[in-house]
Amino acid sequence: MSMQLAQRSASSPTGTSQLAEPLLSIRDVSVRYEQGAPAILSEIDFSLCEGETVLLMGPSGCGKSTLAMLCAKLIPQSVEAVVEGQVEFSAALQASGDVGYVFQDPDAQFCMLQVADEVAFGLENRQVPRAQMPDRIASALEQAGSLVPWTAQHALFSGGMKQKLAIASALAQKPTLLILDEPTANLDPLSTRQVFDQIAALRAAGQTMIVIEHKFDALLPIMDRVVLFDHTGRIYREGPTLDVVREEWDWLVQEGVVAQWKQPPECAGDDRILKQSGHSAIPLDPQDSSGPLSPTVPALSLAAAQIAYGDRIILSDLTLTIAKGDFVAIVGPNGAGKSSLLQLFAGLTKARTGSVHLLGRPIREWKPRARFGVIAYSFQNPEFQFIYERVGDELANRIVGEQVPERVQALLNQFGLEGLEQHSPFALSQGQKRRLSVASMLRDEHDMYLFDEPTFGQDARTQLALLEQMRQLHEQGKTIILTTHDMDLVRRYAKRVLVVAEGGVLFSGTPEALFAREDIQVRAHLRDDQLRLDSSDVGLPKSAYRDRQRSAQNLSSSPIDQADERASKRDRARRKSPVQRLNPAWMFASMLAAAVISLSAHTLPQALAQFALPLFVMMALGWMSPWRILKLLAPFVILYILYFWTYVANSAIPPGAPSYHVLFYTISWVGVHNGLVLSIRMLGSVLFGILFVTQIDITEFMVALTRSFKVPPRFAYGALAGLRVVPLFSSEWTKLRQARQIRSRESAAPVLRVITYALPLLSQGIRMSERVAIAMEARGFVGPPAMSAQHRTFYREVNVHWWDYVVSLSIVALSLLGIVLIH
Amino acid sequence: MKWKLRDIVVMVILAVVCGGIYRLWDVLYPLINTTWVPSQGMLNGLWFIASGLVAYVIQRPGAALLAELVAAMIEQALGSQFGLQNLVWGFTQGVGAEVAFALFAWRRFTLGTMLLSGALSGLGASLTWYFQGGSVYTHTDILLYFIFTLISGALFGGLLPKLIGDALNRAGIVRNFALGRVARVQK
Repeated sequence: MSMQLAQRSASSPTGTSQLAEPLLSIRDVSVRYEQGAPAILSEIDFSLCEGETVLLMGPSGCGKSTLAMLCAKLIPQSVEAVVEGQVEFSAALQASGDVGYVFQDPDAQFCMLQVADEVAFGLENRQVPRAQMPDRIASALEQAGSLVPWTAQHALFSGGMKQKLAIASALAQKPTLLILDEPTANLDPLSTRQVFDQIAALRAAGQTMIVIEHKFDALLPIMDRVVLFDHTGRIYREGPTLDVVREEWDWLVQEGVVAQWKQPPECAGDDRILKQSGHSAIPLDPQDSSGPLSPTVPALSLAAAQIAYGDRIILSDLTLTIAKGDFVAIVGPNGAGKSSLLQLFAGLTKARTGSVHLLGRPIREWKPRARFGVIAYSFQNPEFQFIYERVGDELANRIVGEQVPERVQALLNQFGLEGLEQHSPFALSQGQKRRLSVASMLRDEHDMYLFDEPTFGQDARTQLALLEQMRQLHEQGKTIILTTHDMDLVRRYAKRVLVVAEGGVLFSGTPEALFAREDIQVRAHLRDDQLRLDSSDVGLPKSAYRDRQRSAQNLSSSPIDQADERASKRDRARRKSPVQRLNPAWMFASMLAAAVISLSAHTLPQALAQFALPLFVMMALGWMSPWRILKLLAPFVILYILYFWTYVANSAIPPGAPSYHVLFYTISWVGVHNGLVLSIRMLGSVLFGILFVTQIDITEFMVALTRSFKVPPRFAYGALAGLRVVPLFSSEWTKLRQARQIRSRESAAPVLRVITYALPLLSQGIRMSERVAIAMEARGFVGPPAMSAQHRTFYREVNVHWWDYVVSLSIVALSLLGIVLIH
Repeated sequence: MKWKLRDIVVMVILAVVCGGIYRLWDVLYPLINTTWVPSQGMLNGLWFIASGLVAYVIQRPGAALLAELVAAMIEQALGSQFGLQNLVWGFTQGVGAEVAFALFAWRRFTLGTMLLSGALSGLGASLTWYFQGGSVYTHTDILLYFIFTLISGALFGGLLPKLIGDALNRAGIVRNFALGRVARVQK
């Protein structure tokens, strides 16, 4: 430990007996989420001084996040809870936005679409004048090492880049206190390391921080103080980080906070974890370490296979075999295609080219039922696999109600789920859900078990139980394949590693061989997350630090950078059309009015006028070429031919008008006329719709609604945050369908089936919205700035000019004239 | 009764899911229509799920209308053949559903009010259909279309969302929303 560190720890003693006034102090506080419910936190005494960095540790569900949210005033403001005891904040923590909060899930803490809007959101809430925003955005992005184009869509970012952006968004607010709540949970080792470097740099800059982190090894030297929680939600011990962790190591193992194969920190700055390789806490049978060399057909063999989605090639040139009875770990950077490869193995994704053989037979010749008799597959999100509403039914794979079969009871006991058989699978904790999904995999015997990130989000205890289960299966001769970021797991359990990176399989061999190949580890982002941050990092000069960030950036973000480059090129190539420069809310209102007016077109010329108007607006103000409009309109025209026929064949025929009978239809000239008029005027509305979708920026539209039409920011920005998740749903839907493909039995009643399909998707959506709303409120989106445009500033300049009124009124007037003047 | 930010975001997200589903039904619409016009009325309720589901889960004034509008917006953004007219449908259907809940001051979300809201959505949809082109058909077809739409609305726009909402509630997913809270108080 450096001198600097020693001084710092000395200047920030633990407990409440300090000279300086603490930023916040919490005395004898208990928190429960509902009156009468068991307390999440009990008898908590905690205080925090300026410049201090505190690490919170404890088993899952011990209330670490609850304490963090209490410190951020999210409890009880955004998350309802009953708080007893005394919580005091100093003057530096009074305003909303004084606490910056970075959450675990990168997808659930953003509410805008583009980088700069995202960072500016917190500034808008704090009413920072627009003129100051670009500087503050720039410095926050730089400070967080997030060197990305301001107009980039962050939905395309990797997990690491998203977390850096989240940190930048929090830093832009210049928070007195920064809270990081498991910021690396979704990240690969390199991205994790980048976030840790960030934390080190922030500490060096004197930022007060509370950090919750499961992968804490690297952070130990840079956190002043650690607070240990036990599973009852009480503080077990607190004190100087390294000392306490070293002394309480056995307790941490026993509480399930750290895996039992880990070793306590010996001394500061040692990086033993990467270097050691021979030592083994769980002895493995040395005989099968090389994998069985049986002469039988391999479990899987791939020849020149390629995985591609649309025109995006994910992995190519995949040629490999997996022997029966092997234990394979697939590792690699975030977004490299680990899950895609696993899906290819299970036949859930098809190879674009090349071949995949399962047990010597081409995988496409396997019937799904037979294939999933051989293969058991576990998705990253266990909820996708749940079909039934009770744990007992789920495990039995049919509705059993109260009569739980013996086999199911045995599984319940084996996986620590006894007593939960009447509960809903969705109401279980993360660990219980995972155990349930693995338990149902074991219900029937399979030859191969495939797991997508099985240990993700699990505490050490559940991880150990799962891994031991896999080891038993492996000992019974089953083939195990899993994807993971956890290199410790690879070292302890895998017999073979496939490194997926750079669009292919970079390495295939034993874990020992991989750990000897430093080049591969660097290329696949596998090093780093456990390497202790040494004290030299803490005092690193800023420029040197930035260089490191840059090199890391170059390594991690190349595909996105390319995408951005392409996007910005496209932007430069296309100047903004008048429609894009007009006020989108007024534009929308006038188009909607015209669409309603068009309903009164009853003659062919009137209908044609209602069709010509949007066509004119698209070409004159939207600068869309007739060819482009035709291409966009073509699919609709085909549909409207069907409508036309409906009218031709079904229209009421006035007495005396000629009609013809064909089969059971009555065709009339009246019907032809009706069909033409109605189809053409509807196509006019379609054109307006196309214009809106292709030309109007949704962010600007929402800002305009707030500013010009007095829509409360809560509704406009809340809607934007909700719309942001649209692209996520299509991928969720695909995964859900795949998961259903695996289950051979569907629940009987079709209505029930709709509900069982809807449940996982909706539950995902509802949880996401709760998290998004909390994250938005954590960034100061509460009270006046959320209620009216008067009390916030705007990064996007969306104003109303006289020409907006002229254009809008002209569109409405032309539409009206088209009805009145033409007969 | 006040909207929380979480209610707003969940309203939008549920409406987005429903809007996506509506877009799928849109493909069926012209095909069914071509054979016997009133037959379309039987399926109309499938377009009212958003207002019923969102109103049932968050139980706020305006929830049914806003949800249906957002769902219509998503449906049209995904390329529905109704273009901007979607918003007209969304508005009338949403108003229909909202009226049912308003009649009970947004305090009763029972099977009865849910069925009524679905049926009134159906009334809104039928009127829109009439003005958008339905008026050219025979009186029998128009009358049957109205009746079928009301029934279908009550079932798909009232009963189905209630079943889904109850399932979500049993699963403990909506415990922080009005539906979950009310259910706990009643226990």
